Amino acid sequence: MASAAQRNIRSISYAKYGYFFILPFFLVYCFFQIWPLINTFILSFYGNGQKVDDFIGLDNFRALLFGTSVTGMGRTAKAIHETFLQSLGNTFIVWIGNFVPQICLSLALAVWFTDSKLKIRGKGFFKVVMYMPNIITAASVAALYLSLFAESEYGSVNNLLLTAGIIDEPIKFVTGCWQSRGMIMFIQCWMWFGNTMIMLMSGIMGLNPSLFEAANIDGASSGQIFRKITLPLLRPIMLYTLVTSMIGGLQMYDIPYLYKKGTQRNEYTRTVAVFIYEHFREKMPNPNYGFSAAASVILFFITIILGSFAFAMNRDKDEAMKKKERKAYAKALKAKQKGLGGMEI
Amino acid sequence: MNKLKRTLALVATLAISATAFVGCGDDSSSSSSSSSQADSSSSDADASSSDADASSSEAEGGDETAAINLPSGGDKMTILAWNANDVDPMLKMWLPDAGYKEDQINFVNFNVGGGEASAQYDQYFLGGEDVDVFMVEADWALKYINDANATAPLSDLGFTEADFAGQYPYTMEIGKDSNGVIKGVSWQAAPGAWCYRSDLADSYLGVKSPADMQAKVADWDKFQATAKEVSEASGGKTALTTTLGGIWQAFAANRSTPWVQDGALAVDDFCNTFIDLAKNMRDNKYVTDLNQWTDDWYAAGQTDNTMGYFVSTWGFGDSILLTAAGGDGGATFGKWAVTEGPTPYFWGGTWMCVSPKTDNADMVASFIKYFTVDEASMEKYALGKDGGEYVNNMNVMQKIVDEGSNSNANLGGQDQFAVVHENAKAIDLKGLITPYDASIKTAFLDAVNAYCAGETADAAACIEDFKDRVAESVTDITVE
Repeated sequence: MASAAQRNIRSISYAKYGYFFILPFFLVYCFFQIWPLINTFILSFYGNGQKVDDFIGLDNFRALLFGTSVTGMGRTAKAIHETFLQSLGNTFIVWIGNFVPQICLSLALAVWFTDSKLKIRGKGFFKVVMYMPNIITAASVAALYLSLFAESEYGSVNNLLLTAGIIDEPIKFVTGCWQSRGMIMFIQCWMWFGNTMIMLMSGIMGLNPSLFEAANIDGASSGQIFRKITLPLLRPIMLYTLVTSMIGGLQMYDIPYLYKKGTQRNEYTRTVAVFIYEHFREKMPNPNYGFSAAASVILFFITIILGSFAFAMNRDKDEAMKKKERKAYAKALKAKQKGLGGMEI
Repeated sequence: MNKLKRTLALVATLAISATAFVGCGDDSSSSSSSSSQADSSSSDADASSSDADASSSEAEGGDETAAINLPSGGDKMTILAWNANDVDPMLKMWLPDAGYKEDQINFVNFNVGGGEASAQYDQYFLGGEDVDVFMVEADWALKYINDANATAPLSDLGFTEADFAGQYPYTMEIGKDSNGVIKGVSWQAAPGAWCYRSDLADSYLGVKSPADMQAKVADWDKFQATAKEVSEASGGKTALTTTLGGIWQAFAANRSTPWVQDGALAVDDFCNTFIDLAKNMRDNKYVTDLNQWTDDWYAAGQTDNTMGYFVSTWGFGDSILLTAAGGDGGATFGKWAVTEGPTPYFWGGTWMCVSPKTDNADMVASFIKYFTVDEASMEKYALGKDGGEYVNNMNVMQKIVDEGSNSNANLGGQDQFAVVHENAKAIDLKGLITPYDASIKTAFLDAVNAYCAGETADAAACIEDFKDRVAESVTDITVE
């Protein structure tokens, strides 16, 4: 029989102090993160400009997605629909154009750097150098590229090409449609491939080395090892890279925002995030909070849909099938037991 | 021991969570009315208005035609602005002259671009904190001036229209609300002019003096004809002026009807005229395809590819012309000259508004009087500020111009004030300003730039593009 003191001690739980300690974080999080998030959803049902207090239901979404409205937005609905679709298109074009080369480059480098047969010297140096662009702030990167690729004949690159006689007219690196998109794809790729490479390298190094040894002994070529061993086993990391890059890509903001000529932003590189900011802040005298919030909400759902799609695509099918089989077996077993009146056989 | 730990943990937790609410409380101390720091001469605050008027302890005194109808005696005078470029030198001069101390001033500097200040103000006003005076830009001044909750009529501070008789007329127009009540007033005028390379003008046009040049660019037709002449004489190498943005800055001042009529966007011949002008000038390379505020824009001034810039009073220094010349001793330094250009226009400027919630009316009145009414102190400021200020008083500027003390080395010794002074008097807004002008003017220039770059097929498509852009950014007006 335990004494009263012993019983008391057993009931002391220190867990609650833990909760006290994390309480401040949650309070701050609720006030400054959750509420603004919820408020974004609320604002997306309200009007724009001076009509920011009028509830207009789904009209912002209607205008953005279909260019129609029931509260008489008229031309605004059509114009904003076109701009929004273009921004959405820009976002996908620029993201795909930077992700595909980026993942290929990172994968190739990651495989080379981790290959024990190649014995590349100065790996550490290369890793640092390739990761470097990621450390520089986007503002500096944009400033750097804007001065290198300035449009007129005074821009460094244009000047070089003109003097060498390769081109006759300066190339429009900042306002041209595909030139500017290409530049942004390149900058994004250049900034992020080092990061992706490090991620993939850690993934490859986590694989069981005996598999590679066995493959080598069995006489598999590097190509076969890559295709049959590295790639399939790297799938979870690849998925992670894809999803994070996609979320980052859909929200791409800094470089497209900063990469502009003087005060004139280029419509071919206006991403959805830039669109949201423009309507939130830069429309004078009264900003379009409704459109801005609605566009954020649409972007949120697109991200969710694409994210789930990526997960579904990359699910291990064998594992899923096995799980199904196990479930079916358990069910069958249960039914059997029921049939026998719950008696053990 | 355990208890102590628990108490400590609780205290730590509370302390951390308390930081989350820093800034949430409203700072009522600044609006207390029983303050002893208030200047001694108006001890009975707003009770007697003549007292309050006298409290603005300026040497000149001035006429006391109207009374101050707003309370005085608050703790501190709060000034809102988006940078310190103007407020700091203003305070430096006004405080000792008016007999106030630095700790009676609460200067809230938002440190953002002028275009972003409005959003910052909205936030600040929502917070309900003390505000007495705030600076506004012409582009969005009307948003506040037309709002009775944001701005008080200056007559409440004892000012009458006669007090501002010396001001440049256009600055007064911008400060008036839709009923013609003066609610904003500026201490600086920003009339623009056109600067050109005198050496190029001499070799291509045979023009020797600014007066001769003015004759060649007196209106937009002559401007285009001269552009053609320059282009032919230079073999297509030299453009008369650098950017469409600059031309637009001046051309937009020509409008004879407001951009918004009865809540709808007004598109008229004015638009087509500019589209034709822009297309003509761009297609023939009479103007370069550079944009304002780019490195290239400045760099072009050191080459023979461009002959001119549109420049406003504040643009003769680093902001535009000096940088374009390559700085002091740069490639084209001293080779410039200035003339009125095709049309009088203004570009930029800052206005002061008074909050109806002010609790330091006497100080505010003294401040406004010092910089916008009293000619002696305005002259002092014009000459005393680093680099000089183009103050908003015709008599003062006339006097400074007459004295001829100003000469600009970059302009070969020419006095730019003498030129813009003539322009400033001629600016006539005809009461056309609307709160949407900034957005609409930007949208129009963007549409014209797109047309000139070949993105839209013809002038009609350019107008459609313009309407779409306005419909998208300004949702408060209807667009056909």
